[in-house]
Amino acid sequence: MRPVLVLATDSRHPSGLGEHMLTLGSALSDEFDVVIAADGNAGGRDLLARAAAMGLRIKAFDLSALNPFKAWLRNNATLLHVHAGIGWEGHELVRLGKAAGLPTIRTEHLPYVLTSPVQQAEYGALLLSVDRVITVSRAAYDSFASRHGASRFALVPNGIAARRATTDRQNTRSALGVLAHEQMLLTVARFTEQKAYPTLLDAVPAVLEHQPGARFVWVGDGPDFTTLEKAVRDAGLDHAVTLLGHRDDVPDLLAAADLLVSPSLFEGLPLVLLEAMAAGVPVVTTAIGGSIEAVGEAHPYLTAPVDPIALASTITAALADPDAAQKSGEAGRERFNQHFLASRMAAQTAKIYASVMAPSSSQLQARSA
Amino acid sequence: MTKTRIGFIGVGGIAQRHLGVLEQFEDVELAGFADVDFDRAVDAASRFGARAFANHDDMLAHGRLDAIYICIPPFAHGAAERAVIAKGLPFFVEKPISLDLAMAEALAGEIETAGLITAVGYHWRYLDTVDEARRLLENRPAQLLSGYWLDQTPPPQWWWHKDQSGGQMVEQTTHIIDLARYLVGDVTQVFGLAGHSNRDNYPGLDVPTVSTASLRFASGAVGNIGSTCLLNWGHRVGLHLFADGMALELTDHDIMVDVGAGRPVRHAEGDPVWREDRDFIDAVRGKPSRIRCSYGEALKTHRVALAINQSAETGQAVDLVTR
Repeated sequence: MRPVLVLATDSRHPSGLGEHMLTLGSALSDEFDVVIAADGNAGGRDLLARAAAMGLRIKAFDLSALNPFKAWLRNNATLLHVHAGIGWEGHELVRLGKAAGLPTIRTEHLPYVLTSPVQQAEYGALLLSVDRVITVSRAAYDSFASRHGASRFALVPNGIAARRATTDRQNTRSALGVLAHEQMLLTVARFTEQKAYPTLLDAVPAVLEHQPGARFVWVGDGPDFTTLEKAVRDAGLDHAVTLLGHRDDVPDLLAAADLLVSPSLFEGLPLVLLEAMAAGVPVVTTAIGGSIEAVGEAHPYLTAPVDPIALASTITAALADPDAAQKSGEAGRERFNQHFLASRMAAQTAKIYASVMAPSSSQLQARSA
Repeated sequence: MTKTRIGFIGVGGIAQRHLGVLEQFEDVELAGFADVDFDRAVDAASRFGARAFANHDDMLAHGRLDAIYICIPPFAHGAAERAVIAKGLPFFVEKPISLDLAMAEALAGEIETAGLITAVGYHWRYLDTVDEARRLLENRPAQLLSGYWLDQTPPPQWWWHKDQSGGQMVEQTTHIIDLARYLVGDVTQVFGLAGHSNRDNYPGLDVPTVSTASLRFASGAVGNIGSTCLLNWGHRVGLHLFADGMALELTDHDIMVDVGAGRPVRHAEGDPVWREDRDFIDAVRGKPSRIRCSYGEALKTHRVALAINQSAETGQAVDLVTR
């Protein structure tokens, strides 16, 4: 029997993190009996449905009453791998895993951003009950290891299974009202402070000044959606900016796009950049830890965070020379294939599992013995 | 301990009843759930750490299952059973087993040929009060029966339509018909009457709202069973049996035995659905079968229920060939 691997999150909005869990679960399905676990009452429900549609086992828990989940873990699981969107998430789940007697792994999907002394202390305490913490980029690894020592931390850069577009580029553009001579600039990110949409909005007029055919398409949901929508209207930019809300057809949108723009303030290792690279779409991104690791330090379209003027000029430069942008996109695809495949991420993660599982429960160890 | 991996086809109300039992069995793993309403499959799967499927074919192809529970509405039977039989898996199916007698007959033949373990959800057979009644009737067989299903109209809209539920005699009162057969033996002749009146809160209701059936048994016993869905509450479901010097009254929760010394009532103990599920799982796990109602046995009850409907429509008594 394959070891039962439970990938769990208590994140209320497991969007990119949820994608990551599904990618990992799917890539490990041959070696492990994979269960995706999430809060059945909150945003986790959608993750569970997506996992089910992919053929993975699913388990809902109730964050306000976790004892039944602990009992279920004890009776059914071999290994618990908790995914935390931010440093203060997932502590309860980690403790639950240890209380259920399971080897427990944790992935940090963002760099260390805890500033409250209480949260910092709680994080230190959490480390006592986790077997291994995976970070998703070198920058994130450094941010944790420099504070808490390297012994518990591991680095497994994110990887994704590239998804193909299911519809023709032209169909998608027509549906969005993007004309043939216009350029579509896609941003896929939740509407939260971290993703810095206001900086991008501030950059829009300057871009339009040089490239009047630029059409911005913003995809995602989140608490700031309505505010941003109003800000776009108030700025008289609704002819150039479209907010789409959450979409399940990101591969189609990428195929329709001329440029992907990421104005984020900080990131772990952003999956949407990897998706854009896999699709050969040129990327403009802020020069922040995980994003630089994704596109590479020599990437031509890096820009400083929170700087609308710099962002506008980088976008304009990319749009002004489509040949150069296309070459950059092709280089991105090559870089993706070399470094960011899901299979590489899964193999590295499985090695970490093997290092913390008891020999009897680890086929991986048995095989290599 | 190797667990028996169970998959569910259909995860509505009656499936929940079985899940509440099966989750208590340590030798069972609830491994897969298929429902045409995928959200419902997801809800059930996420309760048990299982996999969810939008259709039964996918579940049977990928679920690595040992046995199946088929809990779908009366009109939906056929494809699910065929797929399970083709896979050679034992299955438990909820009553009524179909609306189409020819299809049920064909399925029974395929099950027989395949030699599959089957069970059907006529759970009254598992009441300890019914065991007591069988013991009491062993030496004093019943000669007159009077059965009842006097109830409200169930909320699911499919139930209101004869072409989807088969009507009350087929969907609910079938429990009483089955109980009568279990206690008295095969039915040889039926005569049915039915009437209908509209109910404001149930638009489109087209099943008979009152129905009654006279039955003759191979043993010589005679009986009558009455049904109505005109109430707004459950009034009485049960079977009264009369033998030489003895009257029995059975409901789904107690038994009254009248031998001329008062009317003592004993409450049923234990959960008949628990026993029914346990017997099915034990048989699937290779123990000697104690299953009280196989598909073939349920088919005999179903023939009686459908014959009552037929008689009510034609106005003619229907003779049943006992096999």
